[in-house]
Amino acid sequence: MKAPHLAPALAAVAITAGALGGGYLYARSIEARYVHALAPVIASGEFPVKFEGSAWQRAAFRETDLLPLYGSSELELKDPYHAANLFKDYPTGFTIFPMGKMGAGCLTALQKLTAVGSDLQGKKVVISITPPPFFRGMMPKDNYQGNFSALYASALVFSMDLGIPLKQKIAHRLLDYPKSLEKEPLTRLALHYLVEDSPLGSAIYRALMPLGQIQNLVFQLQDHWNSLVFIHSIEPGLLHDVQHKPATLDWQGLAGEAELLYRDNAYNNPFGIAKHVWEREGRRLGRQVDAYPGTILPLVRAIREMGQTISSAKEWTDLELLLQTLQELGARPLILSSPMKGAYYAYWAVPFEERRLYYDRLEKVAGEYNIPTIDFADHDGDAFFTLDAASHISSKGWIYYCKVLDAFYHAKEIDSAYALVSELPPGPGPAPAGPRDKISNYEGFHNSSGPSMIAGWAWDTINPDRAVPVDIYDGKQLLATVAADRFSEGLKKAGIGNGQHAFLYAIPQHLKDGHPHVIRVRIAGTALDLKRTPQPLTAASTVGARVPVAKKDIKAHPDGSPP
Amino acid sequence: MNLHATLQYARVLVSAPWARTVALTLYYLAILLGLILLYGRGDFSSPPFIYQGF
Repeated sequence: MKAPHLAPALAAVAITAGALGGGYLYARSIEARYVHALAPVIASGEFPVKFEGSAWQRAAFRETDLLPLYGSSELELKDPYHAANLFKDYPTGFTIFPMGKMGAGCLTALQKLTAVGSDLQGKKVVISITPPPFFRGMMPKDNYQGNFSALYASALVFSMDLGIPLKQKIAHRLLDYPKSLEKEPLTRLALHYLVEDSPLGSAIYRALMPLGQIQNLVFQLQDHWNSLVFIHSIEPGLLHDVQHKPATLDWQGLAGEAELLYRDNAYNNPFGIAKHVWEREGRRLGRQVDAYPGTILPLVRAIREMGQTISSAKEWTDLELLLQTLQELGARPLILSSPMKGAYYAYWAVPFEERRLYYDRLEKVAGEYNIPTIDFADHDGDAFFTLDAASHISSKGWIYYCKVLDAFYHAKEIDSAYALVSELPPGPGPAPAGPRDKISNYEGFHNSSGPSMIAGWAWDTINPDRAVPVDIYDGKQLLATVAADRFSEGLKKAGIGNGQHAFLYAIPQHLKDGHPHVIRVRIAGTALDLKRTPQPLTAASTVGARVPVAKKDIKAHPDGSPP
Repeated sequence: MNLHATLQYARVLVSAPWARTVALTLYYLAILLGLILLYGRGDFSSPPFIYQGF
């Protein structure tokens, strides 16, 4: 009997396969066409397919003028001197392809790179890491799962490029996060048999390999399809032609410029922490500082216990697995680590002897794999290299990173990693220990100006009993420095220390000229403005009139409502 | 051409071996296309999470 359905079915399969093959080639050509335009995108939310699939990474590795940079949140934070901005117009012939998402660790990076597979052979790649995960016991599960991709996990488990022993070690780590595998039955099954050290387990794993290869193929096709959908969904204006503007970069000038810019943004604390971060963290610390060592912030606890936890942090295991992966894939990597916020750690009584455990171990581990590494330990005491306690790099830090990236991209051989950054001044070395009473976290509010008084409040959340002096300016002219030491029932009720933080200043006669003035109030001796300052003042002459000055409660409200 | 004539014409066509093969091929293609449209778009997105920064 004839099989009338067989030929049509086979023909349909052949036509579909041909169409998929054509679609695959079309998708690759589209990715190659747009990868340069999309390379500078750093926000994972703006370009999700880049951070969830491998198609764009492969496309980037195929281009000779793109340098892939893998990391974490430090790559996702905006900065005018971010390498994605500095190299945007290919001033020295290349730009970066950043792959950093908040919470990503070495375990995520190695999966992403394995998904790139053989396209990594002989290619340069930079891995950016930050110190904190290396003294936390384990990457928070949410952080790992928030960076999990079924495509990456499957690519790793069924990789033909990695050896079984390495895959077994990685599999043990992947199984530490079982929730991420709940919806991936084949990957989960293969992982279980991969770690099972028995001939049967090994046989079942090998039997699953063909299925895994099909899964990887399907995932890759889906990834390309998602890329096409993404390209067609975004505004055509985003896909501009890439500009190539050759330029000579004055690295020392840029470093000075970036530091000045950053200093202007980090003046409200002695650690060089960015103003907006300190406004948030300083308040938290201010509330917690007296509770220490009782109920303490996770941040402080992590720092204080660093000496103990650094030896057990799983991130070291993941780093070694990442380095082995890079080696087996034949990549040419460079490791970049930001330094610790030394002064801040010293403040919490973590001496340099403990901080250097991180730097020393990183150099040792990377040295074992002969991978060039720069940890910027000499910038441990540089307050303006990083912008917070998590060692996210500042504008200045980015210039150092950019210098390294530029030198690495153009280098044929790397004799000494630090030679890549030799053009820039070295850091000041370790931060010295600092006494706790030196730090402050100011908060204040300029409540009102006029008709006869300038009023507000200010306090130091870390030293709440201290009367904070404020400078009152008329434009740029200092009028007076007054202590914010008056009692206010409203402040006390609002939890602003003991309530003795209000200030009141009688407007001098010479300002009551009927002309407009601009009144600005700052924490004395700093450039830190109170909230809702400056304010306009136009006061008429009141010569001969009595100006009542409240002696008791000026009823200033911390929420900003007028007294 | 009315409906009856159209159906008659279709019957004659399908009775021809080549036409039957073409129809079956299109039938299987439609099935495959349907499967691709249903499952073609993979979801590799990570679950949303609150970054537990340091």
